[in-house]
Amino acid sequence: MEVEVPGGSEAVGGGGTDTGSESSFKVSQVEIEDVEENLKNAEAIFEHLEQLPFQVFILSEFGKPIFVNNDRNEGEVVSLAALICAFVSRCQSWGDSLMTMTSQDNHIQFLHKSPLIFCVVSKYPEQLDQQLEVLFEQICSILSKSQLENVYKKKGDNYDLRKLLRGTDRLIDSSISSWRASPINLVDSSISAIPMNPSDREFLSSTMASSMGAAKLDGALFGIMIAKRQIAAIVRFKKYVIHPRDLNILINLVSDTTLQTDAQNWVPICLPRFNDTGFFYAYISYPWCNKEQDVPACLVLLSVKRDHFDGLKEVRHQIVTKLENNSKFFTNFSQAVKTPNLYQISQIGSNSESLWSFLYLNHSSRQVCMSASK
Amino acid sequence: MSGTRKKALLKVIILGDSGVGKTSLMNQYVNRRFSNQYKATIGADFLTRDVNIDDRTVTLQIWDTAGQERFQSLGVAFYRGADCCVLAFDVTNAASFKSLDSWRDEFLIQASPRDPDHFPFVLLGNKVDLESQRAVSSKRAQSWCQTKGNIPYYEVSAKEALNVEAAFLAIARDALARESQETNDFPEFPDQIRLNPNQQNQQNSGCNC
Repeated sequence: MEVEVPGGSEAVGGGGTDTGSESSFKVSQVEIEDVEENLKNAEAIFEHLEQLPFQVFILSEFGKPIFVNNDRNEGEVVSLAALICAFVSRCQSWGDSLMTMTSQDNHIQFLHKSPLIFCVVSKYPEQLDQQLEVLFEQICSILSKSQLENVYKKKGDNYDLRKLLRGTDRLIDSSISSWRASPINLVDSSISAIPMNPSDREFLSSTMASSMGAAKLDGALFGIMIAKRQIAAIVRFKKYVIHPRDLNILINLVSDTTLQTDAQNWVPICLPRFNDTGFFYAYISYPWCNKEQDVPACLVLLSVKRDHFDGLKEVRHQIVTKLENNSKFFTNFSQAVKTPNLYQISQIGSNSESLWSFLYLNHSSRQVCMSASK
Repeated sequence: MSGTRKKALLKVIILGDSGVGKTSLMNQYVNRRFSNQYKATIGADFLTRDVNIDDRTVTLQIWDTAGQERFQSLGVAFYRGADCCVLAFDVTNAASFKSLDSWRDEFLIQASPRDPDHFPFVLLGNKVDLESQRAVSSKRAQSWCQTKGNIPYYEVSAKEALNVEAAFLAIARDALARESQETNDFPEFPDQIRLNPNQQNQQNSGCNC
């Protein structure tokens, strides 16, 4: 068992920025008066989209909308989905692939991952391709890439994928908001670590590692403690590595408030960077999310084996008991995850007046920490 | 999990010779407008309309294509994934009726639907307001429909808004009935990950800046 020690924190504010699309609604109709009303409708849609910070579309490669990040608009954007499909397939017919379109201050990025097309309309051009990749991986985590590729073959090209994704709009929405809110995790494929005393973190990690190791569950590969969309500790078997993108998918999943009860969850999840055809089974629990306590920490234990529920339940019991029995640790830990402190500039030993803030990214662990600004 | 049922969405495509009134039919249906002025559709045109069928709201995503071959460029993405295909001809133009076979064949080849013999087509004979110039009788059109597996036939007039509403409603009802036949919408049993330690352990970090 190997232990990775996270080392910092960040919480970038800001968020919503971009604007809606302003491209031509009609592909190339030349008529004027007989579609006046329709053009008015189209204009109304664009005016509305303009108010939105940005707009994301997911559609089938044959033009059926699957997801838009502003649910209210779904009806309005049905024609737009067809138009996006037309743009993409037209370029494809030339043996090319459409990547971006720019119109004044609007940047439109496309990603065609058969059988889906992803599109984002944004005011800022930075990392739009990565944003769409993240969305693709988010969908894969629900269905797996191989199931996604087969579903239209099995059910027909006209299949409405929303039926299979029912109930997961929330996860896609929160994934989008999280990369909008903390682009650093997206841009550098990094993970934010919650600030803790090094000794406390050491105790947490070693407790998790020893409990998992002792259980000798062949196929139980990772244990992760998550709080406030950041990691407190991660333990893993030596041979296996979890990619930050996959970790962010997990963080997104456990941050979903409907899971946060004192119940235990057993969720199949595909982590596409690890393996895009198969599913992990995630044992997800919020050990201190109950009437007496309100410590917003989440313990995730990942196994490739479907029948590991009872085994991991016992591992969880071991970990929780050991952590609670160390009352000094538990007090500090509760404090750290309840009200995380940002790193201070003084912590890096600089008294320079001109240093306002720092951000540290560890290249090998992909963990990032950021100071409060002065 | 939220149980909210989304509006069903049907992709409807309209095919037929240039000038038979595909765009006019669509504009009549979606915008309730008609213009005598003819303008060729370049490429394709997309419109949307919601209809209520029984207790469900259905969104029709209507793909209007260019009848003129020189503008046909969307290829298979246009045809594939369609829930219904509307074939249109001009009752005053016998040639447009004769083309129906090739439009239907073209659709079946390009879209390659799963059950081509029972794919929902609808035939619209447009411009029935020009009765004195009629070149294709209703009977002739109906017998063509019978040979193609009883395709429903509607005589319509985009100009006078005759039967257009009823025809599209029938289209939606038919396609929706087929759509709801598919009951198994659960994901398959998830595949298990087979661990191969030799292939793992490659930390592929993205950026090296």
